[in-house]
Amino acid sequence: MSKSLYVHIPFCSHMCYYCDFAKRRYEETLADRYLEALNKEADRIEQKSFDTVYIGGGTPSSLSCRQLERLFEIIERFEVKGEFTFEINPESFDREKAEILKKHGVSRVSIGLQSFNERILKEAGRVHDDKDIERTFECLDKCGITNRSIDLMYGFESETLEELEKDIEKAVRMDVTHISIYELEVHENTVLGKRGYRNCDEETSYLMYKLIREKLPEYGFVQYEISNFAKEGYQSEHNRTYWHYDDYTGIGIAAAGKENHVRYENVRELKKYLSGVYCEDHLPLSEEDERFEAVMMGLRLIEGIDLKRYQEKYGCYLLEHYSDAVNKHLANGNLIVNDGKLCLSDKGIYVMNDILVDFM
Amino acid sequence: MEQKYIRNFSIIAHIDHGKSTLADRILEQTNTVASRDMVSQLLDDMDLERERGITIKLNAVSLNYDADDGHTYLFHLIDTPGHVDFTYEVSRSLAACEGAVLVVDATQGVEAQTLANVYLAIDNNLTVIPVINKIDLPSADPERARHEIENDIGLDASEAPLISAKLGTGVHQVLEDIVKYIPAPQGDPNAPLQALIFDSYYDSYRGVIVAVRIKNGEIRVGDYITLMSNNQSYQVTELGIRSPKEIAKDKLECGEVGWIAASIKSVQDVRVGDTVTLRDRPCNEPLPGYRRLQPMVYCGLYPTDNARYNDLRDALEKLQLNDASLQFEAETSQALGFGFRCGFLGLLHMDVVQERLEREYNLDLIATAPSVVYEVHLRNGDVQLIDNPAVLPPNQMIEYIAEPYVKASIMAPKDYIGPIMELCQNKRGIYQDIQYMDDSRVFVVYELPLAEIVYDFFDKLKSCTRGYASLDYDLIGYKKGDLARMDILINGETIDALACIVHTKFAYQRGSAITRKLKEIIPKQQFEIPVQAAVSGKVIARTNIKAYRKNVLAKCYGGDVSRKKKLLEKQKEGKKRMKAVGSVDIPQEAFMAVLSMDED
Repeated sequence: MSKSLYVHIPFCSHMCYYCDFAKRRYEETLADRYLEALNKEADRIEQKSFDTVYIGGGTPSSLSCRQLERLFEIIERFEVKGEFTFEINPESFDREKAEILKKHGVSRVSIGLQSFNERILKEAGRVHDDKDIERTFECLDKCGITNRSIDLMYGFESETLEELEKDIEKAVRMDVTHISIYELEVHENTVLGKRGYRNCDEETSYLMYKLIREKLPEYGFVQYEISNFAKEGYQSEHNRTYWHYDDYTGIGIAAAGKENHVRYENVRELKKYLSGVYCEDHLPLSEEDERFEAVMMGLRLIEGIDLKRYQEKYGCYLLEHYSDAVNKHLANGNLIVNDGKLCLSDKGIYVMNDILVDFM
Repeated sequence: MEQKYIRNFSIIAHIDHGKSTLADRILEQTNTVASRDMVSQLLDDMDLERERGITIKLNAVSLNYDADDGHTYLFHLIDTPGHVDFTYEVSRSLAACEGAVLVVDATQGVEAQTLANVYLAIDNNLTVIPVINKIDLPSADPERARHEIENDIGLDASEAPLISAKLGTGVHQVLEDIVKYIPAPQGDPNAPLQALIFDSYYDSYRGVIVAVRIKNGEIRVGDYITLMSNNQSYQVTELGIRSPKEIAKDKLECGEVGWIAASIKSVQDVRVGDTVTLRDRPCNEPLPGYRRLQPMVYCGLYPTDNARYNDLRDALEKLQLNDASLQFEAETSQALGFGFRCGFLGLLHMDVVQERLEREYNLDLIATAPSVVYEVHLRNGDVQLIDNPAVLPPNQMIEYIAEPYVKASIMAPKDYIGPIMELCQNKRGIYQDIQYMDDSRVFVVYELPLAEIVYDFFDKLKSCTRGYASLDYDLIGYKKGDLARMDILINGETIDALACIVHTKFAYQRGSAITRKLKEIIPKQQFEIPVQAAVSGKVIARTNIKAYRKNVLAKCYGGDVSRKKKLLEKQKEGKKRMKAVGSVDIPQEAFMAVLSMDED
């Protein structure tokens, strides 16, 4: 049984320089055809009910109102028992779209803000401005969508600690329940990658992350995952499915899923997808794959991995199965066992990759 | 075959001037190999050779040529390796010939290395036929090439055939010239056997196959032969020629070139340049020119994964079956564990062996920086030969250290004379001579410590002459130098595999260059790591590798698992290629850091 359903909408009204997701410039007729293909793929999903649904992109809010209606029509064959998230970007959002979301039961929006700093927005190739943000929040207010998350980024080549601090201070003053804040990753196949753009240096990146981890909790945003902070009661239920390494279903171009010990990723080429080829990439997961991946995902949660649950699910005792890695990092203080859970220490959070490599 | 119908020759050419292409064309035009069976550049057996465009292993091919005079001639084409590391082997294969075809690229002219081999041929009293190749190229300048052959080498090139080995143009004239100008062998068929060994290779069924040129006498299957350098005897089980596949015969006659199998177990017993004679009717004297080859360059080879030590030994043993000049013995390094000290003829030889170990035997290796053999004169009068800086006796025991010197001949366009001399000066060179070869090129001669050549001399030479210079060198002996061992300490620990012997005048410069380089190469780790260079216990250079503080994936959701896991696997792979020394992970390249330094 999949806990969660992910739906991918690849269209964007504008391409951001850092984005390496599957995306296409929005074109009305193309989007229409895509929705029909999505409908056909959805037909094939046998499971009719999910705990959470997440509509992401791309920019799902770039669809027209008519298309949004059609999208929800497609989704409504599934029962959503809990959190229902929809991703929006300020430049392509308005009152009418907000009303459609509300009407169809969207309970949470995730807003791609990235930064409040004009220079950085420009470097990132973002096109929205303060007015767009203001309007977006007004629309959400008016139709009563109050559970809001914002995405922020840090670690741009030219960004200073002071600038990041300003961004954080603006963010916490927004009427939001949840903040995701990611370090910029420069991927080869993006505009930034092709321009040879670089991240800020490693030392600055460390100091920035440290600042984030200190500042956000001061305003009631508690860190519950490497890059996620939430007010009490507002952790993302959908994303916890991933970090708990539970099963999830994905539909739409490039969407990934994991069901019954198989991970799959849908095709990335729009043409193929429109022609009815949805998925060509199935990866059966071995017992060891799952044991490791459960650690790789689970340690991201600050609360850590529940050892008892892990043993029930994967048939081995984590501390024993990975005794070399566990002992090494318990000894050097990167890992902690507390209350039946294995978690990263405050120090270990910064070097999680080194820890994971020892589990491989 | 009567000797007057035999012609033994080599082809001499600079890399890329078309030696192998001409050889292919000759095989084709004498119907030795049908065109449809031609694999381009047939003589170069090994992949590695083909990839690098160099010939490592020698090869000889026999072919029949129906000449315009109505007679059929037996040609033996003897291939030569094309690099300075193998000068001795080249000289021995030339000694198996009466003549050589000199191929000069009409677009490039005469190059320094061509010169070196032509002089070797002339030293061996060979008749040299110049041939001007690549005349089909638009940039060909045959007249300039002709002029250079006459002025730089001093050979008459007025009749030199203008050919395109690629298209086959002019190859017929080359074949006719071989018949006309290259002398027939002049051996005494009735004298006791004297056969020159010019190559050998190992065959797992028949033992060592020896390539020989019969200088006097003849040899038959069943004969008992003696290798004169070590006085070992064997019974000939099989012999024949190659064309290019092996063809068994019952005898090899005076003047011929062929192969012998005699259940010889080890290539080490078969020395290039040695003389084969008959046990029961030996010749009085071996053929002149035999020299036991000594490795010039040593380095340590260690498996990255200590568990593969035995695999490395097996692989080295297998390579040695076919490579008598490769030497190795077990050694232990505190930093690297168990490995082997290996001796090579030169840097190229070292590279080739290393690459073959990694490629053909699937080994991950750490190579320490190459070292030359130092003569260490101790206070008590003893002299030690040291090929590993880590085992140099303590300073207070040493009277002085002498190091090998070479005579280096560099040819380049004359515009680069300034940078070349500056480079030689910086590398402790002793000026010998400058010759202006013509109005555009010079020949610069310096005596240089071999150690400097082993370091980065060649790369530096290439970069300061934009690739135009060529280098040739000969060992000339040892000279006393103001030398000392420099130790490298990482995180306070002396890393024996990084020790090197330096000239004290350059110690500071080199020490700071190495520490800087190591700082670049060694990835940041979770703690700060001091890197120091010390001579006689005194730290002369120091730098710190700062601790890194953050290494965590920003994003990891449902769609990211595969990709992010790959990233981690890559990090893991990188870690595997590193050697944990104490608590520091040191990547393989670090052990070569002493090589690639910018001292400016």
